[in-house]
Amino acid sequence: MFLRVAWLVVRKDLTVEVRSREILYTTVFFAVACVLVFAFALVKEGRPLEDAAAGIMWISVAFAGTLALGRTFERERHAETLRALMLAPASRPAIYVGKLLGIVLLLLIVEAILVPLIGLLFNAPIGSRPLSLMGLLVTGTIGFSAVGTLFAAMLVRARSRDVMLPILLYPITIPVIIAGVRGTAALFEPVPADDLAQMWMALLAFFDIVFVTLALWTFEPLMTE
Amino acid sequence: MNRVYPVGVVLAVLMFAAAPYLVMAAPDMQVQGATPGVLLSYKIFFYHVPSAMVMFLAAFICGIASAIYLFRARPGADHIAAAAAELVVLFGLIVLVTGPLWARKAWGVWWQWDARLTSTLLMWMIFVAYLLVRRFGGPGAEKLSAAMAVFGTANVPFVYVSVNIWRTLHPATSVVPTLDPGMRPAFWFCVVSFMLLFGLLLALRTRLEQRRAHVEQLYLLADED
Amino acid sequence: MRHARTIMLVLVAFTALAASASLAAAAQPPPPASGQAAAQEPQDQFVPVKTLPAQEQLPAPTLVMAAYGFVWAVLLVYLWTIWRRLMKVEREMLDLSARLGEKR
Repeated sequence: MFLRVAWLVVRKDLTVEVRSREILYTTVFFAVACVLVFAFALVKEGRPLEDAAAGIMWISVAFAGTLALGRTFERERHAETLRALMLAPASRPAIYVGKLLGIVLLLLIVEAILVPLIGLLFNAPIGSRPLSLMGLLVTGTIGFSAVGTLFAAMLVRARSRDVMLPILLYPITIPVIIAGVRGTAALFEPVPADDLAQMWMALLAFFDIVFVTLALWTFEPLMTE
Repeated sequence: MNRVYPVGVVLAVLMFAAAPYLVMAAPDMQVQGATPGVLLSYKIFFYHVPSAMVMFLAAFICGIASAIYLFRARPGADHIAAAAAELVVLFGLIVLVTGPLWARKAWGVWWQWDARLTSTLLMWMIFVAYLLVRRFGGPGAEKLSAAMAVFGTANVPFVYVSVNIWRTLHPATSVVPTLDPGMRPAFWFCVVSFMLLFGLLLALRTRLEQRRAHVEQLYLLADED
Repeated sequence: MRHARTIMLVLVAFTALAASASLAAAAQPPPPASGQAAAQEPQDQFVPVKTLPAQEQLPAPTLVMAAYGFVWAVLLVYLWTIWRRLMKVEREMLDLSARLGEKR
């Protein structure tokens, strides 16, 4: 029942998104624009600063993710569908998981476009350890989205919600950024540091478990009046 | 309760007045080759460390109180959490300003990105965000800030671990020195003073919060007619 | 109202004692360099950076007084804000009780 509800929520989001593709296109383009801006800031005499590629990738994902979260829940608020979801006889945590999966999916698509772009622009060896890189991206995205979905959902009824989301989200997701950037940088080394990357991935996985659990616990009390 | 306040206040004031004398009388740090300037700057330690202890205690209290408020919906817990959060920001500010003032002399730099400093800064920012949400979040902001406190407190170990690993790859020297026995009386005196002050401020601020909440209820009653 | 007086007492006492204590402490000469031969082995902890000339340009007493002064100032300002808010809340409570009392 739980999974069915989650799947229904994901399907609803996908259906709405596939029709207009608004959030997808705008998020992807924003992420690409971010990469360019940072590239101009961090490339000196045609050569990027050390570990710039890894940093730029994760920062762009974080910024784009924040925007996507804001837009997704703004859409819900506008159509009052969030209230409808809350009134439905479905367990709240399942709704949360559904929204979470939707956001994760969206961000993974963005990353799929971003990673080759970064490989191209910064000559980063993205193909040297593809599985580890994917593992880092997936665990990191889940961690970021877990906290982000909860905060974005709870901010739906708040004032100044657009600026509140980054204020609340970024301090909490700093460990995700650190682990993601350092792990990716380890993989982008000329001789990839596999054990280091795996350690960071383990940290991310642990973060995911703890914070998804915490979010599942707190979603119900937070969303009730 | 009302009789305890004046006694506590007089005691705290006396202790704080006595503290500088004790601090100046304490023996100096034993550091080879240190200039008199460096040795004098160590005296900042006597206010810096107790403030840090109070800050973490306040953060812990705020986290627990917020969790109780979220899961048990006790308004009293929210009042304590709000008061404790303000004190985290207050004593955190003291720590983050006295630290660099000391570090400038002892280490030659204002700031270092090691685990302890970074996680303290981050914790401080999380509780600043708590206060911002409470102030600008609109109705229902108490729950949002409670979630922020719970997530923020749960995050502290992750931040510490990730920054620690991040930094030990590039070793840095930054440790609070072990305590010379001659300094212990002055140090513990300061700790007790700060703890006493913290207790008083927490009680006062919680009372203020209770009254404020009561006034809001009265406003609603008055408007009903 | 009892709390307001408490806070007033705290504020005044703090100000008086803070000023006198800080002045007294700062008036003491900085302690002489204790280069005792019986000092412990060099700590790998605080490594005073002797080579930085810029370090000597910021005198230690200034930094120490700034640090202590900051602590006092911040605490006093915070107490003052609590006092102000408490006054405001008490005023509002009186107002509201009066209003509610009229309606009954």
